[in-house]
Amino acid sequence: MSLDKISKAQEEALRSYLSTKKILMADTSPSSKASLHQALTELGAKATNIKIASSFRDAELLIGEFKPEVVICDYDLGKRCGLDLLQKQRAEQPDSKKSIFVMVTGNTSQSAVARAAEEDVDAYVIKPFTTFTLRQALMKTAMLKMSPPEYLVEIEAGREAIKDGKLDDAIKHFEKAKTLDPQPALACAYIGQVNYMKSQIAPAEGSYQEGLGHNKIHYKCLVGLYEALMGQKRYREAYDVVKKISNYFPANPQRLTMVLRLAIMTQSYDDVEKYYQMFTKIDERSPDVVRYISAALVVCGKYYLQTNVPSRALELYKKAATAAYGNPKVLAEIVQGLCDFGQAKEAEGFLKRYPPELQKTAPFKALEVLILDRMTENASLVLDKSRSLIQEGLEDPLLYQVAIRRAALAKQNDIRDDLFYRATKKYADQTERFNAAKDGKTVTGAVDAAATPKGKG
Amino acid sequence: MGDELPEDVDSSMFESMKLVVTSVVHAHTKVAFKDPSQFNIIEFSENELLIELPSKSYATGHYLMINLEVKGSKTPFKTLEIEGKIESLENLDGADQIRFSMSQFDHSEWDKIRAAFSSRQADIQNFFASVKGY
Repeated sequence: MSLDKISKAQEEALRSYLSTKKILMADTSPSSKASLHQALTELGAKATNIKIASSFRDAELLIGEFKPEVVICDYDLGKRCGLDLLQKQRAEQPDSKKSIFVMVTGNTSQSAVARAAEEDVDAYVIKPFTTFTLRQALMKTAMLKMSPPEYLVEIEAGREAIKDGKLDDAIKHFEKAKTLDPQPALACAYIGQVNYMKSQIAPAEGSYQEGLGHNKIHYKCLVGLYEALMGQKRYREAYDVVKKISNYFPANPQRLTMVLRLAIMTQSYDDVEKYYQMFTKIDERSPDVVRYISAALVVCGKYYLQTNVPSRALELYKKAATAAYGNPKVLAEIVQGLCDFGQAKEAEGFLKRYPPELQKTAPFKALEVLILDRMTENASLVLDKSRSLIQEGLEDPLLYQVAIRRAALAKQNDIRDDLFYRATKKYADQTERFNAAKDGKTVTGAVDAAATPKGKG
Repeated sequence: MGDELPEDVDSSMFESMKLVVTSVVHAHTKVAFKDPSQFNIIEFSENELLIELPSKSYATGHYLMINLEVKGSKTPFKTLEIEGKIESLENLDGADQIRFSMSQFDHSEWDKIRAAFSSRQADIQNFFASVKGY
């Protein structure tokens, strides 16, 4: 394994750098650790300055206790992601000039690489590696820290000026940086950031666009532009930008919630299923992400019901129910949506997904009554059933809605009025629905003069 | 790298290219290792592999026939059949590590495989440079 592409001077510089650094290696593979340890000591690291962690937990503890300047870790550390150690290390070593974070990993997926890049990891080496590749990555990273080019020196000076609140000074540094690199996207991004901080949005936007002209996937420029557009409520344009970010950096669950929200706001319903596919691939599914994806799918499903494409709606509702892991609120939205659009038979299928332990609760019983309401011509059966449940103490606004509506259609006005009074007293925020029910309407506004339509397949 | 990235979400972005051991047979006894997935390739070079394997599976000097496959790659690769020898073995905590010298194998196919990983590494480096701007 030849080292002839790395000069002796560079080797010496790296040796000198590593010899004083505390290093943490985190990898579940014994052989990877051994191999990396050997490579590091051959490069100049002192064995006494190297700590080894076999698990995420151990690594986390060691970052807190040992405070390494150099962390080399795998992307996949058991059930946890090695990237999650990065924030911990940054907290312990806030001066990024003095710390290095390198991933050495068998995860070669573009999604993992993109995630590491957006978190500003210093280098990403894939396994199986060659000794030369590993050395080259460490060399390049260390050289950038030890002897950064003038461009990065000016960038760093600008960043320090921002921290000190000297925004005009910062701009001067970044403007100078722009002259020092043929593709100064990073300098443009920081100029954009400073302009944004000064509430000069149009110039900020201009700087981000300029940066993207140099480099169309520059992360800081993309994110900065997105935030500038969102700040101006230019949602359609912001959506185009965040879509691009999602495409290039697909594995970020937080971003998924942002793009979903904008997809719905801009009525880009056709895109939502694509983001569902992304959701199925990501490992981290926080409750927020789950909530957003299932809500987005439900909204899209409703859109397709409204535009009379029930088969499409059903596909999306199935995905929503799956994504939500049987969340009763999501199932309730689906059931109500289907019932409102004459799909009560399909609604029954979704009701069966309700968690068994919740099938005696008021919301579940209310949904059962709603489906019955849509599927039977026996008006008194529905009215009696809903009133009986209310009397048993299973109160739910939907039960009242169905009962009021049925009483209105049967012209049992005393019962209707009594139920209306009780419902609006208990659920004042839903008065509009009860008013519609009083007129014999469903929540979609459809008027049933006679028997309700049966659920369609 | 930026120009090659998809404009739309590509599910292959979540796929990881891996070099996997699919078969290990002792050259003399012809006994196959039951679960070759426990072998992990850590390093490679022109004619040597550094492999992690379960403890006490083999010893220095053993001759093995190993099959390698590349999974998760858009480019198809042939199964690489390698005959070679364990030059050294190190006991580690929880596993062994062997240096396996490759003696008989399809050199051009191995070159293609190594080039694919080198190319992926170069792509990653270029991507990082684009994303970060330096």
